[in-house]
Amino acid sequence: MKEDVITSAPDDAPVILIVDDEPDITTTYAMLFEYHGFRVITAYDGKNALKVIDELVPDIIISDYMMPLMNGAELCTTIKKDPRWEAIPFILQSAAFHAKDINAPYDLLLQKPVTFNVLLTEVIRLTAHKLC
Amino acid sequence: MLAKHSADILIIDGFRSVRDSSPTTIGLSEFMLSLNSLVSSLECTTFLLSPTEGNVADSENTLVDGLIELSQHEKGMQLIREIKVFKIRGGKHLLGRHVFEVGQNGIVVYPRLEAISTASRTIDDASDALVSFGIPDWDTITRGGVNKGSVTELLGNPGVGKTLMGLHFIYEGLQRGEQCLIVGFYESPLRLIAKAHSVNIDLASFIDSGQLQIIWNPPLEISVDALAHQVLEDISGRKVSRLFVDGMDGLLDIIIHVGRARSFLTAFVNELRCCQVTSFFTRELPYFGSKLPENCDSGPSSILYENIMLLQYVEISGVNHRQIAVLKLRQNGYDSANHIMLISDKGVSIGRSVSTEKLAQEIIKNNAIKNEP
Repeated sequence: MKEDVITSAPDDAPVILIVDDEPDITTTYAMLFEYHGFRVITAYDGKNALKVIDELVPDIIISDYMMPLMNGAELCTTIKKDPRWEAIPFILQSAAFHAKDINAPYDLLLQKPVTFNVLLTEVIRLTAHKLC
Repeated sequence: MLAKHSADILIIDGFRSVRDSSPTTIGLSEFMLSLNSLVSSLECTTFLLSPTEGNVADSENTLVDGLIELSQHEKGMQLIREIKVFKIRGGKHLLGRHVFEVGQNGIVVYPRLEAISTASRTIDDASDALVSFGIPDWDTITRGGVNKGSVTELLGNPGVGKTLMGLHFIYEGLQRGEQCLIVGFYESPLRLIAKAHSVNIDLASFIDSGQLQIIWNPPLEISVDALAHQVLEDISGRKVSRLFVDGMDGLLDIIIHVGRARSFLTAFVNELRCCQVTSFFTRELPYFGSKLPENCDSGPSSILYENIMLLQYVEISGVNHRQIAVLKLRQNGYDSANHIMLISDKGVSIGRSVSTEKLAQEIIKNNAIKNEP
């Protein structure tokens, strides 16, 4: 049964930044991605995500769209404008969009609700270079 | 475990332990939200089993997508299982309690007929076509029989010949090639076949061919919902056009919820009409007098039945005779006189109308005897 216990991923495992203002979402995704061998860091809004990213650059970002202070589209635009982070794959997920944000420079847009299997498949695809 | 096995269904049995282990309501709510998030991400349908009864304002009841209560209903020594859906998020469920049974094939739920009938609101197609009883003189009196898809009640004293009338009704349909169904509570199929045989009605060959089905249950601990489901399924599956229920008293006996009889019967006959089944119900009167027994549903039968017929013993010159009359018929123009009914080894036949003068004399004589000091 020990194999069922979630263990810490190895130090060279890809890092995922999960940005969502709902702690249940970040906790759940963190638990599941860690189970699948990823390292996970979390943030609760866009501004907080920029602070986190400064300390540890992730291999991929999964962000919700609707968040306080800075929404997911604004976060995506900010990151993609910064040469240090522009190459980081960005998955934006939301139930609904404002028209002004529809052209944000995300790598993938997912309509909520998103099942974990779909998300996992996309994360593996977008971090394939790191996994190799 | 969930992630490893990609589980589609998770059952947490004894959720009360989880609730009890949480010191605060907020703690339980946090657990519920986390669980919700986890199982929805994994598309894992989750059932929390808890002994709590009712739609109480516990956080797990608020946060779940569906709330279903299983309970038991007790009447005397009898106990039945019931299911009630309090909520299904985004769903239009049938309100109220429904009966379910646990059998060899697992759980079978019988949605309450009243709820189904109300939800479907199917309108029956009133037909002017007439359905014969196969008793020539009776067809003359009723001007051809009863309307197709109508519901008929035959009231009568015990042993007066109600079942035989019903057998004629069914036999006529069988001879015309119709699919027929008998629902009985008292006489077993073998006894019924023998009874029919004694009046030259051969049911056995039609049973063998599948044209006639007999559903027989003593009116004991059987579920009226299960029976109604079985009857309607047979009607739908075989395209039954004639139904004989012998008798209504048995059906009323197995409706165990107080006050439910009228609404159940209304829904049941509505379903029969929608299926265009011409239905014939017998109902027993007491040996003496014509007052309905205590178990009857309150209210007039005319709401349920388009046609009502009365078959009873009458004493004429010291001899008991069977007397039959139409009390109500959906189409007009029937012979409203009382007629003598005869039973021979050839079955039922209708004799002369009972003389009004003779009856009046008998009534005067009876009243005089009763008033003697």
